[in-house]
Amino acid sequence: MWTRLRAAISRVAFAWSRRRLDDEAAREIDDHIDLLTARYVRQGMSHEDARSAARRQFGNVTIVREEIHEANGIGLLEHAARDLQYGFRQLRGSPGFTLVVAATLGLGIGGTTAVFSVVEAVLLKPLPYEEPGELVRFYQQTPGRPDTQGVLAGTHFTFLREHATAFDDVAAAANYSETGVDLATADGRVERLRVLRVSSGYFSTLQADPAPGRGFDRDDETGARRVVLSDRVWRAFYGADASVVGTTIVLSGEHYEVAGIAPRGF
Amino acid sequence: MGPQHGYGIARRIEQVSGDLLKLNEGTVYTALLRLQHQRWISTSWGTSENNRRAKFYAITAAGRHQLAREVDSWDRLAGVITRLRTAGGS
Repeated sequence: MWTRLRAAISRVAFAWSRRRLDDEAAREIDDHIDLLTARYVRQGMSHEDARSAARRQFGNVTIVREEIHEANGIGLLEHAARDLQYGFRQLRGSPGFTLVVAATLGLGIGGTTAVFSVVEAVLLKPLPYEEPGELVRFYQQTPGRPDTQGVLAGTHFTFLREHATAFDDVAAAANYSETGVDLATADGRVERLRVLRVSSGYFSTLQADPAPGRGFDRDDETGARRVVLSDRVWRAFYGADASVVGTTIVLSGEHYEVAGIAPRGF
Repeated sequence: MGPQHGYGIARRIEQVSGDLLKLNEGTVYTALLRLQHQRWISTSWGTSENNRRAKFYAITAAGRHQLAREVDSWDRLAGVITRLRTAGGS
């Protein structure tokens, strides 16, 4: 283990000066054969015979040089680099094929990424509320039709609120009637805003209490016209001025009292 | 016998082993390289008998240590073989 590791480190180090080492090895081999030849010549052989005898005794020069070259390198990496180079050359040689492959890969990866982004946002990422795992939503089911998810009638909501003691809080949102209203700004412009009609306890149920100001309480359910502004609207139209809380604004020609400002991002 | 170049090592092997061990002398160089990678030998430049610059190989302290271990292990193995041969008779 240690032996191999040491050899590997050494090979990396030797790989830096590989060309020089290869040249040195080549010279060593040449000298070796020359010395052997000289020895056989001294023993009375002709130069030619001596040379071939020396070569025989040395063995295959090419293989020895190749082995030295391989041993002074990081074989696997180098092979990978060479394969990569070869691959690029091949791809450049057939641009049509390359284009198709690249497009296929691009579409495949892009599509998968897009789908995953949706899945992530819809299924995997927790809801942006405190303790999203404890939030439940009630639906009304048509008897014998387990696939239906109807909205609850108002009376059902008040019944749930009175009797569903397992929950900290129960609130209703008129989801199906999410509509727009026109906000008349101070400088005379009119902006279209989205509104959601909610019951009292909406903000406390989601643990997103407005600040400054407050959410809605039961007293507001007597027909009081009160709104909670989103943080974005508050900043865009009222310059994040806390004194807007308690004042009256005009939405679609009707007067509403600003009860509070929802937390940022809500 | 001090630092030797590859040719000298090949001659020494030839001389010591008699004609019993005939090796392709090229393998000396690949073996020397493997020993270098283990830092068991070091190299330096010197002049060979035909007055050329040549690489000389010398054993290092780590190399001596390793050699002692290898010799030890070989002797033990050879001893066991000998004992087995003697016990088995011939």
